[in-house]
Amino acid sequence: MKITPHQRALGFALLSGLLGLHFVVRYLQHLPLGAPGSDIDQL
Amino acid sequence: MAREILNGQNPYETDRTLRLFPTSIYYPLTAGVVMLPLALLDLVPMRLAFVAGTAALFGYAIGRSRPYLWPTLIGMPFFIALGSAQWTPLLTTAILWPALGWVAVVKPNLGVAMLAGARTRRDALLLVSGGLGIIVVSLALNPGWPGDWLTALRDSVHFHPLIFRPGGFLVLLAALRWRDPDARLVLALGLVPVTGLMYDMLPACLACRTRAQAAVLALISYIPWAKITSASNLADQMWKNGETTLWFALLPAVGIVLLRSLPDVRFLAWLKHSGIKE
Repeated sequence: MKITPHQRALGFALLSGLLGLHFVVRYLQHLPLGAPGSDIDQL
Repeated sequence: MAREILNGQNPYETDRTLRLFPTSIYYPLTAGVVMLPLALLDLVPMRLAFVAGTAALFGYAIGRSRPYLWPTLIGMPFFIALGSAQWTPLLTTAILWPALGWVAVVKPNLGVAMLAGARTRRDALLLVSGGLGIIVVSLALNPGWPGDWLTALRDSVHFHPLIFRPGGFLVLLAALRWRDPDARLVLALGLVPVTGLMYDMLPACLACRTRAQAAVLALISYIPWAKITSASNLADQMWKNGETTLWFALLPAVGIVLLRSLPDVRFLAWLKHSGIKE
């Protein structure tokens, strides 16, 4: 089965999104919300 | 910031001690305007949606437009951007997809770099006109924000261009290829004021044209990993981080761009063979 460019991009998106999720969970586990290094509170 | 806009408050005048991150606001109000759709969420879901959403979008854009850049997804600039909930994955996506160019206005320093690296006049026009649209909306919401924002920036101690760090002048070599949009992008990344953390150099990955180049850039970004930069104050810490970022994120991208100028001589055949020189 040949992977189409769209399917490949979706795969990349899924992996990147999960990576993002991982970093958010790690952040929440290790730091209090809004600790230095986080800009989300500013936004 | 976005929540304060929704509540009709001036984010720049809110009591800092009420913030979880009690510093001045260094973002222009345009960033808050773009964040308005997420302002209805609590902080944790907001962070999740922002980080995972922009990361997924960046991954999709890479997979669709430049799949050979996949090593960027395991490089330090991307990881640090995710860890600190930064805009750069979205801004880098906007370089790949000029229709999203208007997001440049959330971070004007990188916005200038994006404009410098625009591939066509149409891309530049999309970026400027879309950005102006967001600025008009933000001024309608709070006409005095540019003054408040500039005051906050004047009080900041940690925004300096990477070119002022030791060895930073080497970034100017990219100007030798000023007709190349990638060269203009990396040059501008060295000239605009940044905090010095590696996340701001994520757009430099777009200078790569082969998988080997992207892999080299990602690998080099890990070299300073073991060295934890600490200093007694924010200004010193960011200055030191900037030195690391210059040498292990920006200058390798400058090198990749400059390799294009080298002739295909036998002496450099191994670079060509390995894909480091396209």
